[in-house]
Amino acid sequence: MEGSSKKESWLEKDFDVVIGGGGIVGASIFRELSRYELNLLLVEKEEDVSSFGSTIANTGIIHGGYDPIPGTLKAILNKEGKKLWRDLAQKLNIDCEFNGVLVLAYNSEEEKILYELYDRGIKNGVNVKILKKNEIKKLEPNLKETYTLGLISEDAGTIDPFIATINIVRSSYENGGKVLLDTEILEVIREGESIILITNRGEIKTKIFVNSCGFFGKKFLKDETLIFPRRGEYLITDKNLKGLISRPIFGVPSMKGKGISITPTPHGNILLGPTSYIVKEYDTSSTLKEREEILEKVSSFIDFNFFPYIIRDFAGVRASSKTKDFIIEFEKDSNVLHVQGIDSPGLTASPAIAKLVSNLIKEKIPLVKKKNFKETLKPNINLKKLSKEEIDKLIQKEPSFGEIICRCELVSKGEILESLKIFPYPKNIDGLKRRLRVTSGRCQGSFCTIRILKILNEEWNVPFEEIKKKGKEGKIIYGEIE
Amino acid sequence: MVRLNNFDLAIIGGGPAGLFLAKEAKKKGLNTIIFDREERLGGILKQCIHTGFGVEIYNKDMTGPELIEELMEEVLNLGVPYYTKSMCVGFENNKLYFYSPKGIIELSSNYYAFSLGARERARGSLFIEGSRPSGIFTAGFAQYITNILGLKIGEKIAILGSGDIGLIMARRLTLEGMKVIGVFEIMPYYGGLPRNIRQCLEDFEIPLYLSHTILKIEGEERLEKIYVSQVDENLKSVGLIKEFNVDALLFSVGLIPEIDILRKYLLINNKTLGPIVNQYFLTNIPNTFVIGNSLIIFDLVDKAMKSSLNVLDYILKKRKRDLEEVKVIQGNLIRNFVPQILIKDGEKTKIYFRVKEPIFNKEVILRENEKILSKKKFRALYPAEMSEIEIDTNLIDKNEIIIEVI
Repeated sequence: MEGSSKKESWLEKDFDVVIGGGGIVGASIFRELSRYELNLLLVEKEEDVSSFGSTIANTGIIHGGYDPIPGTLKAILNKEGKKLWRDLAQKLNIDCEFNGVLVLAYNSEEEKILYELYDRGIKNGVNVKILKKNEIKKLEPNLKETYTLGLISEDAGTIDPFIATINIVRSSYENGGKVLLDTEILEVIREGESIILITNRGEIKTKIFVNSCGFFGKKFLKDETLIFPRRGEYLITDKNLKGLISRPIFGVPSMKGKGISITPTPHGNILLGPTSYIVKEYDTSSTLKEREEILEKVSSFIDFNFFPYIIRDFAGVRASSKTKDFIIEFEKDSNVLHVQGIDSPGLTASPAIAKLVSNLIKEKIPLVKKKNFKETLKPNINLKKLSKEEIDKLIQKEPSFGEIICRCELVSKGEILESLKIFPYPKNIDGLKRRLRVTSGRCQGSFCTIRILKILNEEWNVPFEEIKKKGKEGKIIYGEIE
Repeated sequence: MVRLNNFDLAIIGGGPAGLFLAKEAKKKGLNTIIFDREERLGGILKQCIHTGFGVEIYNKDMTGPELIEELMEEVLNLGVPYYTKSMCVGFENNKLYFYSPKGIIELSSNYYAFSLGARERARGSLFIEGSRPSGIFTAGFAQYITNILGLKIGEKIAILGSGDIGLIMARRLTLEGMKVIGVFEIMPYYGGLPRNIRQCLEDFEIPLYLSHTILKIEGEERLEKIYVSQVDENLKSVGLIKEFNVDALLFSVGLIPEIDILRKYLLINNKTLGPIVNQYFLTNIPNTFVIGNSLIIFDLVDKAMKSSLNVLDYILKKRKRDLEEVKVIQGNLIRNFVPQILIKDGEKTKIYFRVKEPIFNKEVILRENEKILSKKKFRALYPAEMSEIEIDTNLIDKNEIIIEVI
């Protein structure tokens, strides 16, 4: 049904709400609205959700909320979102770690900024604490001891943003929401109380349209110059550095934002970055200059040669707003609700943004709660979370769980086969990577990619050349050798 | 849970080194067992359909699959038990654990020999600017796709790095009708064996660009273009940039010993990136050996096989490790070597080494202070070649000796 090219009967009906964009923001809104009796649709231009934009290139931090200016949407939604994530991560089986976030000052000038952050944190009503040198050393013994003062937000942490988005969409779907992939919204026609969305696959009629299309949603704004792209580049290490640091480490923020951090992911990798550059175009290629910038900045925190452990670099583009705050509001005299300029702390704020959006929609159309909304998801089988005895039992029942396909991340054939049957279905190798972490280890897929191709070739019954790494052109194989 | 006990020697990794050791161990009466994570034994040689294997041990030039077939037959005739599709996932309290379609296997053995082979360095270990499309392969991965699956990786292909697998793939892909536009090597000399330069590149008129590297990759979903530049002696771009339209790029930029499963416990040598071992390839973990490419990257399979017999020497002659130990120190122009430790047990042994850059008419020596203990002359020695030098441990007085080129 989703993703197919023929027009489905349910598309003929009018929708109550159509949400544009299958990133973390769109997904969160989708789930919040799936609590209500609504004819609800999520539209995504790519072949999969969680496959584009800032959602797939961010630090994965659930921020403390000390950074945003008091009174802004960013401040309010950061605080609320941070609380909501703890509950959400548990209910939807999202990998997370809440060890706090540490900000370090290295001189009296920076100490002043740190105290400003502290004051802002108090004003924003979030958990902040000033740490002395010896307290920092106790928490993070491997750092260079050149810092003079620290600030910790103890209830902050990190999550896996890919799994978060995917599982949130799955939950919305299991609660009755519909999803249309490979569908790009080209134009939004406002017709009084209703809206026509012109897409590459026909027209969709809806009462309300939520523009959470990320950077490419700016064209639906009355003034699209409000949104500008800001690039950030990252490096990621293998898991051999697990334990080097226990929580994200930042320097004090500057004009360019929160700055480059060292962040341990919930899976045991370490993320270094991001850089921050205002750019003219949407460009996610990586550059030597920025990589050097990251390594140099990181070397001020820790005396450690990360270079041999780096397995990948990547860059993402965030949509920043000239208003310096999130834009979350209905257009005057129309039912288009813009959710734009969601840069940092967008991931943290997402569940709170979703609640705000649902409150705004309530003023336009009646929202009636479903009686049987399902809060939780059935967990997928994950060998890493099972004991030897449990794994053995599982393999006796289904031998494919004993067949390791991705040796870096220890993912079995059974887990891949299961993933193929769970909505939203993976469409390509990168889709499986975001769901199961296959190809994301130290060898970056040189062992498992072909083994996964063989599984997909059998399961999907399609030739190798039709299986993609990503997108439409991202095939891996050019067919058989004659 | 499958529980396997009372083995003398368990070999983890059924490639050439592991199979050869298994065969010889069984012949000597050791109760031996083999584990491999793949469906079939044989390791990387299954996909190496070129010749050049077995010359030293079998006195004939065979393809990889031929050598494996021969070796397998011997191992099976001797009745060595083996488990395939069994992935080693843990080492706790002197027991090994495997995931396999039969369930979890718990193994206990007197001795363990790990022959897990090597990993290929991937794009992440280099710094190349640009996008992250599909169409970028490590050379061995491309070899598997081409030789085992019979599938095409692209139409126009560039190869980065002049390691042996890259050279062999340049020939293979050309023979299979694909266009290899060139092999780019950042160093001023090639990384593979001289015979492979001749037989794989020159014979097929595939250009080799020494002192060249790839600066940037373009193409959103599939690779479209690479930007190549010549480099100076500091390996920095000299500016002149050439563009090549290609749809596939192979990385042949080196192998790293695979020992991840033991990483928590092993002392690692930062030059070989494999474990620190003594002359019997015994690691710091009691009764645990590492052999083959997971110890050090060998240049020839025969050498990896033959050297694995050091393990048997230790087990059969009931050698002791609690004798005086000598450290081997890296000296002038030596890139890496094994062993890094010698037990002074009065036996003769060998040190396997590689040089940092090509050397001509020079000597490699082992010395303690100014006293030369052993020397060997080389007319020409390339970094790709692994050589060896003998040492009689009786001659050593001090607790340190140096290996170097003079």
